[in-house]
Amino acid sequence: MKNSVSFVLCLPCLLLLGLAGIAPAEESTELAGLLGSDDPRFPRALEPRVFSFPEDHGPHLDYRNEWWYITGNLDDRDGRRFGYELTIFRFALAPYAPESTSAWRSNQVYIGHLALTDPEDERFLVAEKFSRGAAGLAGARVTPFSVWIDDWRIEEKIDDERIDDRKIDDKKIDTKNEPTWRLRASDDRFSLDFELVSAKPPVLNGVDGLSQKSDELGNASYYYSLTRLLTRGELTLDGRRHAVSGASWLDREWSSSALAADQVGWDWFALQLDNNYELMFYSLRRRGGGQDPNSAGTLTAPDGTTKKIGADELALDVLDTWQSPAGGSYPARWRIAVPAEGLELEVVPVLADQELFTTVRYWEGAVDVRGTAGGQAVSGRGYVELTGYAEQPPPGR
Amino acid sequence: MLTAAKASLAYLWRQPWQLAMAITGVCIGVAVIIAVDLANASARLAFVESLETVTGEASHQIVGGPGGIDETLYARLRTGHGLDDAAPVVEAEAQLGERRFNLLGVDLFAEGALRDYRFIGNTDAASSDSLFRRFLLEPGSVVLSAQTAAALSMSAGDTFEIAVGGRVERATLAATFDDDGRLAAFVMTDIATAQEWLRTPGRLSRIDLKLDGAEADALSAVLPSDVRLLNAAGRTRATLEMSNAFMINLHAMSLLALLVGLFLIYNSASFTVLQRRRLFGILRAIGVTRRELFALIMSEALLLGVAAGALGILLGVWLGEQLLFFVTRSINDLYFRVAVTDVAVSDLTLFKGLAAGILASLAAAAVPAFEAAHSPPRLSLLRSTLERRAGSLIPAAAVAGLGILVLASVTLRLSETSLLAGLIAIFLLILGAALSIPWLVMKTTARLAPLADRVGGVAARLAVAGIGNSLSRTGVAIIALAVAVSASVGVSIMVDSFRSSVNDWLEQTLRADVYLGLPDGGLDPGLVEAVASLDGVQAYSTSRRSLLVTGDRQTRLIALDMAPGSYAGTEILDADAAAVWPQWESRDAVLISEPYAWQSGLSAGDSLLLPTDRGERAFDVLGVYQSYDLNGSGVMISRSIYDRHWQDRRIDSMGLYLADEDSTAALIERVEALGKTFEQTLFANSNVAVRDLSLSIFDRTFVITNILYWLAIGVAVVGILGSMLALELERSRELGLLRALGLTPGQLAQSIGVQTGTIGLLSGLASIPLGAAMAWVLIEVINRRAFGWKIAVDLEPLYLGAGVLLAVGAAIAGGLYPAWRAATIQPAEAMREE
Repeated sequence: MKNSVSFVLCLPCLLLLGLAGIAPAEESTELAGLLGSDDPRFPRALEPRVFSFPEDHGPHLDYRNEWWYITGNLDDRDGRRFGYELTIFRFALAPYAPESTSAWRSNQVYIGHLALTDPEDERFLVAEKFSRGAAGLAGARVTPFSVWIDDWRIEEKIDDERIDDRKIDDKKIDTKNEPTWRLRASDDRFSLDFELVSAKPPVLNGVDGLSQKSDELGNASYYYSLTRLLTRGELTLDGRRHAVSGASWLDREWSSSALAADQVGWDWFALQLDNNYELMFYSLRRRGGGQDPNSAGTLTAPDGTTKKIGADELALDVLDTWQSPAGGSYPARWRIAVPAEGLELEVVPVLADQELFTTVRYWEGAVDVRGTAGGQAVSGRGYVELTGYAEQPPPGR
Repeated sequence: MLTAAKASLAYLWRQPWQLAMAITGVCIGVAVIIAVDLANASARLAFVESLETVTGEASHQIVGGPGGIDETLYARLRTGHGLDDAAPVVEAEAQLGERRFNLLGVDLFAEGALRDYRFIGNTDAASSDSLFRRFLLEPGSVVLSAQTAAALSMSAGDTFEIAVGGRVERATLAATFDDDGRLAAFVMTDIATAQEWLRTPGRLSRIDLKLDGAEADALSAVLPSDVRLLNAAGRTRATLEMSNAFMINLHAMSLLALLVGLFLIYNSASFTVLQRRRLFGILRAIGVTRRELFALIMSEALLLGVAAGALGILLGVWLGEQLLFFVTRSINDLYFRVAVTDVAVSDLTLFKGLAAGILASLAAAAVPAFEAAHSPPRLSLLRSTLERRAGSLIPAAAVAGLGILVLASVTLRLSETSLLAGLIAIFLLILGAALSIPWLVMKTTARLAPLADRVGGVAARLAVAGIGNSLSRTGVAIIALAVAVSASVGVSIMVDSFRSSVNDWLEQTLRADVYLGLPDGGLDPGLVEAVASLDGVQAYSTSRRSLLVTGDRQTRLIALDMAPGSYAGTEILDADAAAVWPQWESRDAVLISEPYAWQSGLSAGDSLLLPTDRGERAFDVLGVYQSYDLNGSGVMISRSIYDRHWQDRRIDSMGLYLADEDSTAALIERVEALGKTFEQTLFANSNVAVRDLSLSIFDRTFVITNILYWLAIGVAVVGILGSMLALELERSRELGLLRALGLTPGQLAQSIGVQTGTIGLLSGLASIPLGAAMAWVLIEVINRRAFGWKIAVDLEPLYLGAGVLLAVGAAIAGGLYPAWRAATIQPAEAMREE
């Protein structure tokens, strides 16, 4: 589950106002219709489908929105910690592109978000890009796999040597059959150049990859994740190079729907535990408080097998809050309990302020995890995304 | 002192006509100065601002050859070189109704980094479309400046026809932007729509970039050889420079207006003092001190300058708005689509006008005020005192004038190419002549007086002699009239010589029977073929004009595929045509136009570096050809050589040679019909029509010049009117005496008529050599230095004669009212004054 609503809603607002240099003034819900969200020609995620890879790493251009969402926690050789996010969103403005002799005519728009968490200097750096999905400027393809916007790109490495087998917690993981991806992105202040290789097969979330977001039929997405992407490479910050390694997470989702009218946002957790389990859970929040029963998650075992976690199987308690200087109060520390799995975890942001002032304001940040699994002490790292907290304009504006 | 001021003002008040004349004079003088300055500055500002707005924050531009840039370069730069602050542009000409626009195809996603737009008319929450969405999904969506949309009575959502590349396309106004009219001459659309309309898929006109020096160097190193990285400021400057010569000419006109305006102000202000000399004498006699009197006169002059100057500002702003239309139209015809929506009223311009009004008033009053204040009381009552002093100054002024004339010719001789020096020489010429004129008048009238006596009796003699004897009043009026008329004579001769040279050139150049064309290489290749194979077309030539930008120079490259009959149309000035043409056809060589030769300093035997698709190449200059192309100076290359160096197969125009010249009209119809089958609206015309069209554009360019010199003459007429009125009032005793001596009212009017007529005649005669000299400088120096054109001087006696008639007419017109007053004078009343 990702930023679908905000971004779908906000694209027009960005297009209308963002580049025109006017502060977004309207309520985003009022802009809901601008993309033609009810255009019946967009296909909907109505029933489970057969996923096939690598095809499904590529774009699903018929659907209205789609994203490649990579987050990761890395350390350099001196043990300096970093978190990063590179997301490429794709939006179809209409079900079909008009016919044209020009390569610039397109119905596809891409947006990129890039963020770096630097706990040592207590910095959170963000950059954003927009482009039409045309003329080679931004796009996605299957073979060889590539998704890009300008010079931010995630693509399959073809000619170069592949990442060797890696060890995690002294257990050798066979990655021979997994393609190696290369992730590159840069901003004025920092740049990333990483190799990624998946330690586990794709995890289908929801019911065989169909992730229901509300009770309404078709208000759902197709959703899979690569929950443990072994990552190494170079991170340049302020002109200094850091050789880094760690683990990343890919979330892939496509749909033509948005949040239901009574939903205001979500809290999303992607946690990688040192016992080689991964837990993903999204909590959909209802307008006026309370959790939507369609909230759900997936627990992935070391061998790649998965277990769906229903809303009633997981207890989520907020232990702390953080007041954004720009307005809005975010939860800032959580207790997560999955009694059936014997999981009891505390999730703590590595930096309080990991709020993205992109066209849509949201919080997405690196977290630490501590707790117990089946009575054994467990720790881990992860990423949390919090949306819908910054809707109301800050006081005094 | 208070009494003195009261008396002085009461006097003025009793003579409302004179006061009005003085105020009018200063007011018009100030207005002309302000109007010309405003029109020039506004046009220039609009020009610069619209260029700057389009350039935005771009520091550099990537440009290609005539065919533009391969668009994949842009994607490569963004995806492979991390260039974020880059925006692609497809630019062309578009026509909306009668108005011409610059079509700007952009990628809104990239624009934010370089240009700042404030879109309006689209933020309505009820509207379910965003501009980006419409640009991407709806071909034909455009954005106009809010001012332009209002001028065309359009609002968002309206659909209209727009001509691009010779085709009529449908456009929808998606939104407007609030840009203070800076982009009033622009139609903005998505880059996809621009490519679709222009039928140029895959091509960009340029890429705008924001780079620092190091980034620019790094980028130049990786660019392919068919494109160049240019400094955006240099590019803007080069575009501006194309129009600089025109602007400088306008500026010269505004200096002329300033000069004539100053004469007028001086004239008007000095009268208000001179005419009251008797009053001042009386004031001195009753005990007003010199200092008091001087202060009184000067403060009056100040008051006059301020009050009339303020009125002049109002009039000037209005007049400036009228002039602006003509200035803008000429720029549009010649250089760049620009729309001036506002008169840029700058404080500096107003200050300049007002300061001219006040300072000239003070300066004009200072001499007579000093005179009046320092004369013994009784003496100042006598006009003759003043005249005697003026008389002694006149020869000295003439000597100074002669010196200045020498200085003018030295300036011309020493400066070889400086336009500024040329202009300075013109003003020295005028100044020198102005200083010499009173002496000439004094000498001439002294000789003429006995002659007048023989012809018209004593009244005529008095009238003629009166001119020379009252030079302190008439001198400035004569100078103003002579300068205005000579300027008109000089400019007329220049324009006429220029026009006839252009006409001769057009007649020689336009050798084909029928011409057809479309801008931006828009002729459909299929259409070219179809037209060429029409019955009755014996031979044809094609041309393609493109702009090559290098550094800060723009070169208009004209690629010609000539029909056998075309060669004779180009006159090669410095080489043997028979030897030149075969070389021009077969090797890397060019012919350069006369203005281009002038600007670049190149001539036959030199070589010229041009940016080709494979980098810079040297082309031999075979010779210089005559050209009065107003569209910028050119370099002529044969089509086959052009095709070897530039990837551009487009054609702008064709010249058709017919088997039967009488079938011209019928053939034009067939060509136009053919155009329709290719969905192209062609401009097809006979050679006569093309020539007429060219000449009409030429004439339009000089409309502004005409208006300005008519203004100058108008100012001079007002000056003469003022002088004559003052003179007549001063002569009222003399005229009363003449009436008492038995002269009839008719004879008196005649006397005034003789006087004004003589003044006009003298001014007119003085304007002949001055006008001829000005024409010569304008043609041989100013035009040559500004544009590089060599024009045959056509000293048409008609214009010289017309100048004299104009001067006489103006002077007589100025004397009509004074003559009427003199005729109705009551002798007793007039003489009672003493």
